Formats: sequence, C-alpha cells, structure tokens
Amino acid sequence: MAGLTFKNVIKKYAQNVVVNDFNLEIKDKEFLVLVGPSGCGKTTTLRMIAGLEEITSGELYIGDRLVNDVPPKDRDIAMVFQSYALYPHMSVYENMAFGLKLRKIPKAEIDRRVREAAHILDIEHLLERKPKALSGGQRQRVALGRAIVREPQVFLMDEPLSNLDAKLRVQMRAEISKLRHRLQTTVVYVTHDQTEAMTMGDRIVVMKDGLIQQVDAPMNLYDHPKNMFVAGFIGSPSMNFLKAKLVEEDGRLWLVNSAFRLPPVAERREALTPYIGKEIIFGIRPEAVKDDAPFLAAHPDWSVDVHVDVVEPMGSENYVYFSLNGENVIARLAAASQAKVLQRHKVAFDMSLARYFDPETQAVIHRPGYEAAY
Amino acid sequence: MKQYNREERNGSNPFLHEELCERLNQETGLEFSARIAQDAPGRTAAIQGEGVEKNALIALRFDGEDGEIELTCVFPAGDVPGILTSRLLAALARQIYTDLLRELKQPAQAWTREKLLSAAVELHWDETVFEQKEAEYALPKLSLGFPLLIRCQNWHSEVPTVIENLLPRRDVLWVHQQEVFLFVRAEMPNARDLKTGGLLVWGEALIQQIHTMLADEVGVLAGVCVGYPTERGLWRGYQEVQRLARLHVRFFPGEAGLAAWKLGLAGLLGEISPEVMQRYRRETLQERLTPELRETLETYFAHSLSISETARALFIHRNTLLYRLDRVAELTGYNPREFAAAVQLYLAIWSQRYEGEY
Repeated sequence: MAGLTFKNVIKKYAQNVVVNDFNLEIKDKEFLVLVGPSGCGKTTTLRMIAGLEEITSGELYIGDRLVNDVPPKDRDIAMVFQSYALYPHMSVYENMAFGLKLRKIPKAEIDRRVREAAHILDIEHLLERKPKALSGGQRQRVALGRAIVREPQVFLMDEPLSNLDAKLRVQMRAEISKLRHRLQTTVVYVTHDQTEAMTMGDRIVVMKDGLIQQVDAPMNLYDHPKNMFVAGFIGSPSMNFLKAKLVEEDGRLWLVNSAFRLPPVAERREALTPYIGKEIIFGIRPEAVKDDAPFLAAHPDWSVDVHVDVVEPMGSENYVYFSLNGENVIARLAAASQAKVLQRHKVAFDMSLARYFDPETQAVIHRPGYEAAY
Repeated sequence: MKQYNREERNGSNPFLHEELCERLNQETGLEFSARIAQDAPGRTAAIQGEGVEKNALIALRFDGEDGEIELTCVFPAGDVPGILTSRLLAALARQIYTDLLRELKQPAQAWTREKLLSAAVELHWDETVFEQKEAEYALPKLSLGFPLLIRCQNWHSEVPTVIENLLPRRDVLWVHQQEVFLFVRAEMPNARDLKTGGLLVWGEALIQQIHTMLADEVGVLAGVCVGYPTERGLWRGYQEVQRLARLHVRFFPGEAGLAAWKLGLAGLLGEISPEVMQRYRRETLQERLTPELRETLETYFAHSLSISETARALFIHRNTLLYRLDRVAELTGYNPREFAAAVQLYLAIWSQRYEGEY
C-alpha cells in the first residue's frame, strides 16, 4: 500500500497545457476522486500515475519512489476502465488469470489470487462462464477482479461505471465503496459525475482547464465552494447565480437588482463591505429557496414574488423554474408546494445559506465556518 | 507437400516431378521415376520386356506444361501388369499432375494477407498491384469488418498475444515493427445495417478496449485508429488507418485513438500543411487575442453564437460579452457576430487548439 505525491506536475502537448502545476498529496488507503468536466485534465492526471503519459515537468512519487521514469508495468498499479474489455473466448477464471500468466506468476499463486478475488466479488459461481453469458454488472465485477488479482499498491479507476445503466450504476457505486474498505488500498477514481464523486470519495479534487479548483472533503465542497466553478459543478440541480448591486441603506446592506431587494445576514457584513456600491454575484442553492408559510412569515425581508415558468414534479419534491432579472432560477420545493405553472408565487431565499462571489475573479467572498479537510 | 517458389512452378521442374512420383507411388505402392520425354511422342502406356521370367519396364506418357512427361517403373518378374492396368496408371498419373499444377498455381496455404502486406510495404506496391496479387493468390474473401491500426509507443513481446485473445474474430493480424494492423470482423446482429450507426458505435468502442487492455496487461501505450467498415479493399483500409494515425498524432495526441467517422474538421485541415495553417492563424488572429478573448470566442462558438447562452456560460453580463466580441472584431478585423467572419475565426481558433499552439 502507498500514497502518492504530485509536485508541480505539468503535462503539455506541444504548447497546449492540459495539466498545470498540479500539487497534491494522496494519503495511503485514501479514496480520492478527480472530478471535472470533459477536457479538464483528470484522465490525463490518472494516466500520468499509470505511466501511460509522460510527465512534462515536475515529480510524481508512489510511496517514497520517484516514478517519473519508471515503466508502467513496474509501477505496481492496477487500472479499471470505463470500457471493461474481456477476452471473449476465455472463461471468467482465465480472464482474471491471464494478466498474471503474462507476468509469469506461478500457477498455484494465480489460482489462490483468482479464487480469493472471486470470493471478495461474489462471482465464484461464474468462474467457468464465458463473458457472453454474463450481465453488465457481472462483467464489470470481472474487470474489477482482473485488477484485484494484481494485488497492487494503488488502484486507478477511470469512469468505471459510466457504461452501466442508471440502476446498475447506483448498485456498483455502493459495491466499489464496500470493496474499497475490504481491500484497504489507495484508490484514485476519475469521474465527471459529481454524484459519484460526492458519494464515494474521502476527498475530491475538482478540476477545470488542467487546474485544481479545490481539493476538499465532499461536504466542504458543497457547503464551502472556493469559487463559482466549484459551486456550480457540485450539487444537482446546480447553485443559482444572480447578479446584484450591493448597497448600504440605513446602516444595512442590501442586494439590489430589478427583481429583488435582499439583505445579506449580519455576519457577512465585514467581508462584504469592500464591495459596497459594486456588483457582486449572489449564489443560492435550489434547496435554499423555500415557500413554506412559516418560513415566509419568519423572513418577510427574504421573500420575492416570482412568475413560475415550469414545475417538474419529482415525487418527493418539485423543481420549480422561474427567472429573475433575466437569470434562470431553480427552486427545490416540497412536493406539497402550491407553485403552479404561469402563475405568480411567493418564495423566500434563505439568506443564511447564501454565498457571494467576486464577479471579476469568480472567487468566493468569505467562507464562514469553513474547516479544511486535512 | 513441399513448398515451391514461383520459378520452380513449371513442368520441367525436377521438384514437381519428384512430387508427382511421390504421390503416384503412394497411390499405387510402386516406384516411379519421371523425366521429360526426349524422343517422339509415344503411346500413353507401354510395357517393355514382358514375360513371367523377366523384369518389365512400364512407361506412362502424357503432356506436361512444357513437354511430354514420361514416368517409368520397373516391375519385378512375375508381377507384370496388363496393358489395361498400364492405361489406368497413366490416367491416374495425369490426374495427379493436373491437381498438382492447380495447387501450385493457387498456393492458398503459402500466401496469406499478412505476407501480402509485408511484400506490399517492402516493394512499395500500389492499390492496383495489391489487388491483382490478392486475386492471383485467390485469398479467401474478407468478412464485413474494420481495418484497424494499433501504433505502440513502447513495445512488449506479448502485445500480439493480448490482441489475438481480445479479438479472436479477425481476418488479418499483421505485426510490423511497433504496429499491429488488423482487419476485425464486425460483431453486430445487424452488421449490415449501417444506417443505425450501431456498427460504428461498436467499431469506436474497439479503440478504448484495445487501448486500455494493452495499457492494463502489458503497460503499452498505443494509439488505435479504426477505418470505415468494409468487405473489400484491404490495402485501401491499411492506407486509411495509416493516414488516421498521422492525424491522431497531429490533432488528437491526448486521445486513445481515432475513428474515421470522428475526424470532422481534422479530415479537411489535415490535408493542409502545419506551416500553411500557422500562417492562416497568424493572419486571422493577428496574435493579439488575450486568453480571456480566446475563451470568450470558444464559448461563443460552443454555444452556437448565442449571446445569452454564452453570457450565462461565462457568468458575465450580456453587455460584457458584446464588448468582448467587439474587441475581437477590433483586434482581428473579423466580427464574430457576422457569419462569414465567424467561420474564419472558428477555423483559426479550432486549429490553434488542435495544433497545440496554446
């Protein structure tokens, strides 16, 4: 088992920088998730760990060993990919054993490892079957088995669930989390799906354009995003962003635009003071928009009249869409909400949960109560 | 059967005679020897020195490719065949000879597509010559499948083993230096129904499967290029995937590979030399766009020139976006809000990204 360390790692294709000044320490036995939109550099980072991409500059350590120039086969890592190819003419047993055979591992040892991995994955009864006779989930288990039998120091997983249907994905997500606790190994997991990232990772690295945006525990990313990108990327539906001017009237701060006039909570005053008279971006999560009568009654200052565009009943809740000052807003309201399409409705923004961003740098302004994960 | 080279494939070839005798001997249990008859055409079968007390010489004659062939065999005394048997022996010899010639003219066992590809590369054959040879050697028909090239950056002796096992259904697997060229049979229930795109999806999936399997099993980094599915034109398919491999390196170096139907603009711009493209970029963008303006343009193009969508995606006010687009027009002379100018800028921005200029 081993941790990983990136020191100022850069990856370029010609002049095109795809991973820029990547610094990160991944702890032994940690489950670290790299998440970000397509082209953000997360897969390239994973492939650098695997040795499948050369590092343009910087240093990468697996444990204490500098591995920049170590060939992939000598890095003691195993990979599980999105396209879990299996050898079609081989049985499950042979599929799991094949990689070890190529590595000239003795037969008895191969047998021990294959049977042990099959036991962990609960596929002992499938060992004689050919891939064609397996379901999607079973195939994915075999692919995991092929990695487990290597007994590597680090597991690298590149979107291993994205080929599965939604139901199976949820099931396998839980399986991998369980497996990780049984194997007690360092895992680096790449996904573009923020739900996977939030539910599986000990820590999450959010990337964009080759740069780390934030490295943090899942709930810290959700509650204390460092910038607008992280705030918008983590959470579904995404955080709403509204532009407003910050003004001071009668000793109180107000966020003002053509659609509302809302007061930031008092504890934000100090942090917001430099922005008085300027435009800032106000972020509010869909679940921080409420319409229940007690909340509206308790916070008349936080309420806004809106014209409802769309209502999406989700069963346990309703997604209600409206626009304010030309910006689309989504509210996640209780199923009992009376919001109706094309009618006026009163909602209130829970200003204690509001976030504020600098429109120039897009960085968050003030993160009260934030404690770094490590 | 022994292997014969092309120079040996004629009637005067001693190896051919040897093989003829060997087969005839196997059929009859006798011991014949063969030669080209030097004298005047004789009877089909003749027996000399007949008699129960004497050995007899039996001579079988028939027309070979370059002369009359005579097969002779000495019979032990007391066991001399009748003239009818001799004629049957002559007919059998003629049949074996004809079969032998046919086999040598169609050496299916000797020539494979892999050998043909090696010869084609070595001797710089063009498509016409390659197809002539394919026809000449009567190679079995190709199934519907994909030409596919695996270009390995590093090598491991087990690469062919991994590929053989991963893709057992294939018509060709040719290893040449650090490249593996395959013709992979399509595996789809409706393989001929190209309209659905299902076959192409299957073909495209091969890229990731091969790439990841080689990386995982033997730590080999490979670019995998897949050509359009076909049932013929192996050489054209080989040329196509070679071209794809060049475009892969030039435009998509970070990708696992490239499928012919995913080329897009690269298929067109790949025909233009990097120097010409660079000049075009310089003339269009004037090297004056800041990273912010470039990102703005890219987002604007990605959102189909929609001002409101782009402003939302960039988290900027509509007026800020309009200001930035005006600034692009000012710096380059091309107004991105006009279609023709937008196309010019789009090509320049596209090539800048894919030619790795930033």
